[in-house]
Amino acid sequence: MKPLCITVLMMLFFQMPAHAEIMTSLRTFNDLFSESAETDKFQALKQESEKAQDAWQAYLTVTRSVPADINNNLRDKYRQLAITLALKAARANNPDALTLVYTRDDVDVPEFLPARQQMVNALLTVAEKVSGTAGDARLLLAAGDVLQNGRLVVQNSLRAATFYARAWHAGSDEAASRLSSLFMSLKDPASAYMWELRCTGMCQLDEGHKAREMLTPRQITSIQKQASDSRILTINGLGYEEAMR
Amino acid sequence: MKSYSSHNTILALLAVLASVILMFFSTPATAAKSSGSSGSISSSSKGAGIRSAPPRLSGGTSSGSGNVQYKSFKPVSASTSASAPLSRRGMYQGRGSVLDHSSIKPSERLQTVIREKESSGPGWVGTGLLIWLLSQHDLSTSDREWVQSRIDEARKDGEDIAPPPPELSDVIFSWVLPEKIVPGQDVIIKAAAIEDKKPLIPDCEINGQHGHTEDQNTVLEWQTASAVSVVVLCSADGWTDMRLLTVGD
Repeated sequence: MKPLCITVLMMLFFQMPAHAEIMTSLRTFNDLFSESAETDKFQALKQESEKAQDAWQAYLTVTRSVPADINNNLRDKYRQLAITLALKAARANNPDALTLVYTRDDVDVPEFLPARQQMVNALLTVAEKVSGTAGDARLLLAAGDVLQNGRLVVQNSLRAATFYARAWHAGSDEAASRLSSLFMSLKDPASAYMWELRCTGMCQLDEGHKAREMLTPRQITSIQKQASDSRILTINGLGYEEAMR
Repeated sequence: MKSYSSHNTILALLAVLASVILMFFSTPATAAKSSGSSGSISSSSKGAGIRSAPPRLSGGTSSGSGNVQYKSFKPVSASTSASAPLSRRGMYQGRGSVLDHSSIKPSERLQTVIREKESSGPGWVGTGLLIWLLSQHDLSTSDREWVQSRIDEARKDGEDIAPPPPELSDVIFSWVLPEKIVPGQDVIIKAAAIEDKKPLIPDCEINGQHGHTEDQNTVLEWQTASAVSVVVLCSADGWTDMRLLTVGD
């Protein structure tokens, strides 16, 4: 009995490495099978999205379809496909795609940078034509940024102000702050102060806003009254009013 | 007793020596400090809005009563006033009237303006006042040259020159806008402008379309279609006014 037990134990002992190797082999085979399946899935999705009529919808489908547990190589393929579809949609003047191209961080998607120069006129044209509802706020803000920054097009602050104003009406939290900075850059402290007053709630003013310090008490009071009328976008005539006094 | 008196003598001499040293190193009396007028100044001003053209300085014509029109101005900070010797702080830093620094005087009118301004508040001193004067529209040529000369002197003296304050717009725009706009409505907008009691006909634009003139007004038409908002711009004499029209508010 004892030799039998020893023999059985020895057999089990010497089988363990082989068992482990078999298990490892089984696991590797399983991973390869899964990876291959994921790759096939990606390829099918890629083919389907490249044929899609609506590149923006295809982009949304791809971004929602990325599996959580995939290797970096495959994840990068999903990313590249999404970028390609977004750029395709932007070239087709899709407002959401244009917003994405012009608002994503340069570090996140450097591929958008060269496209911005190419599509800037399309952005401005589309922004002019949008109705101005809440969904258009970010597009309008992006159009204002392009015109005010003056890097992709010649700076046009007045036109930028029109986009910012519409973005403000559409509910943008940042538009009032942008307008305040814009009018300070135009050396118009009266209008800048009015937009400081309108920068409420989630809106945050840029540092160094000193429009109020450049105004007299009467001017400040006059502007505060006018700020409640959302139709008024600029302040004029204060110089004449002071002169008449 | 003798040692006591010599001890007292030494103490007295030490006290005198200390007093002399203190007197020697004490700072001289300074002019009255500005009382920190960092707030805005209640003066009439002409001026700033959005310019659609480079800034204009109209020559020769004074507005209103003929007096120089003052603009809003942030006075020199009290902390920069002279407690240091004149040569290090600049000749115009809080040291009396700008009129005192030159034997050549400007016109009587400008002298009056300067005296009035300098006495109107603690901050109206030095190059800040000079820069502000230079930005006025109705200085005579000789007065302008006088002001510029004083500024040039200050620059040579190494003084920091304050930038001129921004102008505020003196054009008053008036608008006739519908109280409420419904979707699909055709909207008529009228705009007019006045500067110095004189009517101006503004150049107005909505969605790239310019308006037409009717009497002293500019009239524009907007077909709302599916739009929810639009901005109207009107410009007159280099100043631009903007209004936001919204549908359904």
